[in-house]
Amino acid sequence: MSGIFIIQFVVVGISMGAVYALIALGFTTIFRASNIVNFAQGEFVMLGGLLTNFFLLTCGFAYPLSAVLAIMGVVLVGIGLQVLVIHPIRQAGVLIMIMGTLGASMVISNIPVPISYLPKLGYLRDPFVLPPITTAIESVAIAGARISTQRLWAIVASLVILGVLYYFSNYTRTGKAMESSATDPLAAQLVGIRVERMVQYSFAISAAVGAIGGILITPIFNMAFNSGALLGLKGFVAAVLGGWGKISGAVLGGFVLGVVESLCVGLIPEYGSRYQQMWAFIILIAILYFRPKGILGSDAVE
Amino acid sequence: MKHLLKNINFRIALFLVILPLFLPEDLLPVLCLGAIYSIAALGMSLLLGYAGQISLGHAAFIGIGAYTTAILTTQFNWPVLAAFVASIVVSSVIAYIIGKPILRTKGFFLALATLGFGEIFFVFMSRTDPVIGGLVGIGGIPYFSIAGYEFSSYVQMLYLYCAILLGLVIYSQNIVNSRTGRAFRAISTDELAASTMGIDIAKYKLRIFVLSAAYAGIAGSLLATYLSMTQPYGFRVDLSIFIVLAVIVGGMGSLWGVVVATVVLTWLKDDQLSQYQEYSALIYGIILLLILIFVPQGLGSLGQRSFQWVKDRIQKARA
Repeated sequence: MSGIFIIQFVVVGISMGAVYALIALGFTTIFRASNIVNFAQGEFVMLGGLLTNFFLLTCGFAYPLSAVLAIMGVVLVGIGLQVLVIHPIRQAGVLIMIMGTLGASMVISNIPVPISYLPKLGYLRDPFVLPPITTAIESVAIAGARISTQRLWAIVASLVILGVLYYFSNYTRTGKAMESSATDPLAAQLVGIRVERMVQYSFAISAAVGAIGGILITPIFNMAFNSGALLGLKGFVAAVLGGWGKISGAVLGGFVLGVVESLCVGLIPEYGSRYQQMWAFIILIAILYFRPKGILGSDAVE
Repeated sequence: MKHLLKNINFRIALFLVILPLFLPEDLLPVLCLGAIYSIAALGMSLLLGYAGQISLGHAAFIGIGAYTTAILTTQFNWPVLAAFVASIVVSSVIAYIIGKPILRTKGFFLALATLGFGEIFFVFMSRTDPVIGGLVGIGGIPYFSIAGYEFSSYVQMLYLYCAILLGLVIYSQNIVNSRTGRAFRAISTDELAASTMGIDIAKYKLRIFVLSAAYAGIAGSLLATYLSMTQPYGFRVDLSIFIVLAVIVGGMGSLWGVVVATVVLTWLKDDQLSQYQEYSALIYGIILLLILIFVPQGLGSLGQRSFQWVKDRIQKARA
């Protein structure tokens, strides 16, 4: 296979990895503020795409306005999830938390179904793609491989968000307060941090990050109301792969997962693309076997 | 005889023998399914309720059992009983292989790893066409039969499933009350303390994981002969979640409670909710959340809690 093909698959992998990185960042943000793993993370991504599509098609808003409204809508869903589901079961243990977020994922992904029976909303049930963000230049050539600008957008956006989140959690009062409310909730409360509020912030941020991922991915990926769960799981795999609980680990894991998955699909003859959705989880089992701490090393995984 | 009548298992067995004779015909299919899923839920109850290990990949082990029976009976003409035994062996062996790496993790990560395993199984089954049949699956699986006697009517099948279920409950009770069972409980309470007492944690975890997969294999094999076909969509994450939910509703430590919960939930999901078609997943999800929020200790705790509530009220009224 020629070099150009490999470069093509690597760049496609990096751009898909950028979205995995954003999902992984969502997992990490919530975990760092509350020690909770939110299995409904993928639904934020799906909703980001779905709501943007809704505002574009049904309300007829311009693209930037639709995207902003969609992100705000998903943030509301994130806070709602924390208030309605996470808060009531926060004392009930890991198992109930896992089942609760899985149940929330089931509910969120199925809410579009009854809504789609309202007049003129039937498209909510169908797979959809968003128009690309920039239409002026469709693709650019990198080392002989053609890359669509949408993929470049995804890469740039995830790096920017990485920077913002890194700055936020390490250099701002709120960011530090969020972290301390996971490390020791009681002590955090005693020094005047409103722990519950911090957990809500983390859900809001994580929902926003997920929604941005959804808006970036939907032009290059066939999205449907039920594709959130799989994306969420892959984002979780990325976060474990890079080093669980670390912001840099989430991003690195996302890119590595995207590239390795893309190379598996591209380079393994016949079986590569046939079993496309399987490779991420084979990578997961391998990483849990050989290096459960992930690439950058994490002290959260036992 | 008097001693026997006091035995709870004997009473339930008696109940199960008489029950199918008085049931309305249209409840039988749901009860058959409920009994089959109960077998898988029993295994999950041992894993989750006694050893404290989460698995969200048990649908895959049920699927492995079902597919083993399907392939061996339809393509290699094995007798059903032999295929049944092979199903148990195959799902146990795969659980042994997969259990070694993933049981090193706990909690959220074990949930993710088992979910990932379930997804690998689903993708493999739905994308492999030769032998397995891809998304279409395998049809034409014969009824369960022992030495030429075929279990072909619902009543016959229900008796068969109840007999196997009863045997497995008694077997599970023996495990729970044995050295192994005490080791499991020690592990789920405090792993560190258990290991200092000389319990080989990794070995026991793997053992219970394999055992619960064997139960799932039994359920899968019976499911294949009951439905007379297998399809990958029947063994997805939602089935794994369903089995775990049944254990939560039934109460973590109660084996018969889990059986009752599984039957009731099967009736709810496959009989009541299925009439809402596209909305059923949404309604089911909401019910799941309500259960987790209001009765996370299982429905068994509800009686105790309402009793406590009445008692408190009376005390308040007196004071």
